Amino acid sequence: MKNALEWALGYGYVRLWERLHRVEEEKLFAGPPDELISEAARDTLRLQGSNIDNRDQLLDQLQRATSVLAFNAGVSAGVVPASASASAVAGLAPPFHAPDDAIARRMIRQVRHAINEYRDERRLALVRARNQLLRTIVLTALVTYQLVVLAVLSGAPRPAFTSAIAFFLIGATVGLFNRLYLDASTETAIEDYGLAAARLLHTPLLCGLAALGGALIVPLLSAQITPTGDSSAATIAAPTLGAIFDIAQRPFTLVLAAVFGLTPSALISRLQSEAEKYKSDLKSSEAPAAH
Amino acid sequence: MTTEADAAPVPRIAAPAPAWRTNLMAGLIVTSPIGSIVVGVITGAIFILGVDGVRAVLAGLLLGAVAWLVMALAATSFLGVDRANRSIHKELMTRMEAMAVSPMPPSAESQLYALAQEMGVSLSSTPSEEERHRLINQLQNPPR
Repeated sequence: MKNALEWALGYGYVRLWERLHRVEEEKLFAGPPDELISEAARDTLRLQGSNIDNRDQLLDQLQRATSVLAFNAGVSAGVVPASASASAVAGLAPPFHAPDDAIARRMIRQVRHAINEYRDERRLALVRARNQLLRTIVLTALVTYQLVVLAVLSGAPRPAFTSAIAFFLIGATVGLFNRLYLDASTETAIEDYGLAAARLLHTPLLCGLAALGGALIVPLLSAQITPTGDSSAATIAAPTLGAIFDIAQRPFTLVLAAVFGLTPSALISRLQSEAEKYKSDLKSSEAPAAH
Repeated sequence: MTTEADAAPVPRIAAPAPAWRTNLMAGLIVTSPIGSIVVGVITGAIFILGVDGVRAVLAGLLLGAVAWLVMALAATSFLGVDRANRSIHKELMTRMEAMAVSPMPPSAESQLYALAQEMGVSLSSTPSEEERHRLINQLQNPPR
């Protein structure tokens, strides 16, 4: 079950990426100098646009390592930027020897490892966020089911029950429309491990419940705040549930449901911005031409 | 007469659960977000259709559970590494194939092949040694 589940939950793919990256780093370490230099140049471009914390130190490390490798391989023009030539990099002075070459290789591998680790962490964060959201959906759906069971067992009038479903559906529809608007600004080129799909499933459930809550609470509160007639306690009677969920008597409740269906958008957009941050981190550390 | 090996306690290995059962459990877990919604929807629908009280709840649970089970059975076909997320699988495959073309240390090569095995693919279709050298030469000295 573990194997089947880890692919479905996405953790398996992150693990595969990690293992593939370790192979890649080992291969890079043993590669010919020209390959190492070109890979280092590629990593320089990846680092320059990335949000990695210690980006400057990694770039410096790459410059030093490239200078050593380029000098030992007898190349310099077009490979090492003028500012990064061996004489310009502090603490580096040719001639370089075989141990320097090994250190330079190790440094390039370390930089690649740092980039790979950064990307793998972001992937794992996306997978975790998606699975956490799926767990939330299950719990929310179970609570909704309990509400349905409560209504059924307490013998709620069928028209009121149908109205409650109508409020729920209105909220869900408004929430999905809002999702369309929010999705216009999302990055779709980066794989999000099913997080967007989980959010899509979460939206109608949450917005429907918010609409139902709003349709229930606002009439109750308004009865308490603006009592009709004299101020005696007897006249501040809250409307019954049957009256609240009667669309024929209170058609305005449909509007309330639609308005309240939009309220979870703040929560949903926050979840979305968190995911967008991970995706933007992944995009910023992507190789410029080939992945 | 018992030897030392006979006297040593034999470690008991727990019998692995049948594959269909583990797959079904995984299918149920994967479809739980939809399944939990479906149970509620069916219960509500049965109540609206005219069944009252406990009977509506029980019928909803039963029908909802059947629907969930059907979804879980359908989901078992999508639990493999190549089907759970096709785009990532393809991305990983492309990367692995690109890596397998050029020479690498034996330890890295064995790791790569183990990885390919876990992904349910074979890298045996990679070029022969001569073909690999030809490709490497071609990459290092591109035709002008």
